[in-house]
Amino acid sequence: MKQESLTQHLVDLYAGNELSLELMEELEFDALQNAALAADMQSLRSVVHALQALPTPEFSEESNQRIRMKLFAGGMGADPSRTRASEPAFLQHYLPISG
Amino acid sequence: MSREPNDDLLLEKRYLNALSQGDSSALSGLYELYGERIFRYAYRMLGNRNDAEDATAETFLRVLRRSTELRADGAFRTWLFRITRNLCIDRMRQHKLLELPSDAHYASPEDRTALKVTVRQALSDLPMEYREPLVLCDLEDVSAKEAAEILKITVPALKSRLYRGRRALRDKLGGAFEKK
Repeated sequence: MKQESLTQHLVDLYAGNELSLELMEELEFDALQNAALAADMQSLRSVVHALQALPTPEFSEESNQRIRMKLFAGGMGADPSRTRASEPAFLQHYLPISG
Repeated sequence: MSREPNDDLLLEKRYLNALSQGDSSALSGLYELYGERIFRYAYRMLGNRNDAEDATAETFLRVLRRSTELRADGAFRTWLFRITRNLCIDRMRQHKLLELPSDAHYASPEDRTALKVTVRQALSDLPMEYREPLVLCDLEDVSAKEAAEILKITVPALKSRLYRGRRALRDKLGGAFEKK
C-alpha cells in the first residue's frame, strides 16, 4: 500500500514535470514493464498538456477600455502620459493663421 | 518588448508609493502591470467576459480604496489575486442563485476544437477546491508557493489539491486520454 502511494506521488510529480531527470528516466524505465503505470503516467501528463493548451482568454481592447472607464468612474486619476498620447493631432499642433 | 520581473517589481514599488501618497493616477500604472493577468484569471474562474471585466475593475478599485494602507513589500500581487478570487467566488454564488449562463468560448473559432471545449467544461465542473489550483498553477503559471498564499493554504495542501484535481479531471474526461 505504501509502495503504491509512493508510486502515485511520483506519477503526480512526473505529470507536472517536477521530477529530476534521473528519477524521470527511472520511472519511465519501470513503466516499460508495467502497462498500468505507463498508462497512468501518459494519461496524467496528457491532462496537464491539455490544460496548458487551453486558449488564453482574449483581453480585448474593448474590455480594456470598459475596465478603464469603470476605474475612472471609481476615482482613478488620469495618467498624464496617457492623456497626452490620446490627444487628437489637431490639439497637439498649432497651425499658423495666415491672412 | 517584454519586461523583466525585476522591472515589474520596481515599477510596482514606485506606483504603490505614489498611490499611498494620494496620487490616484498611479493606479493606472498598476492596472497596466497586472490588469491583463487579473482579467484572465477572473475570466477563467467565471467563464464570462462581462463578469471578468467587473471583477477586474472592482479588484483595482479596492486597491484604490485601501491605498493608504498599501506597502511595497512584495506581497502585493498575491493580495491582488486574492481579492479577485474572493470577488469571483462571490460572483459565482450569485450566478448559482440566478443560474446565469457563461460565455460559450474564450477566443477565436479555430480554438473551439471539441477536446478543448470538453477539457474546459470538465474543468468548470470540478469542485472549487480542485479547480482553483489547476487554474492558478497549470493555466496561469503561478508558482505553487504563491498559489498557496493566494488560497491561504500550505504548499503541501496546494500540491495535494493540484494532483487530486488533475486525477479528477482525467476521470471526468473518461477515455479521452487513455493510452492508445
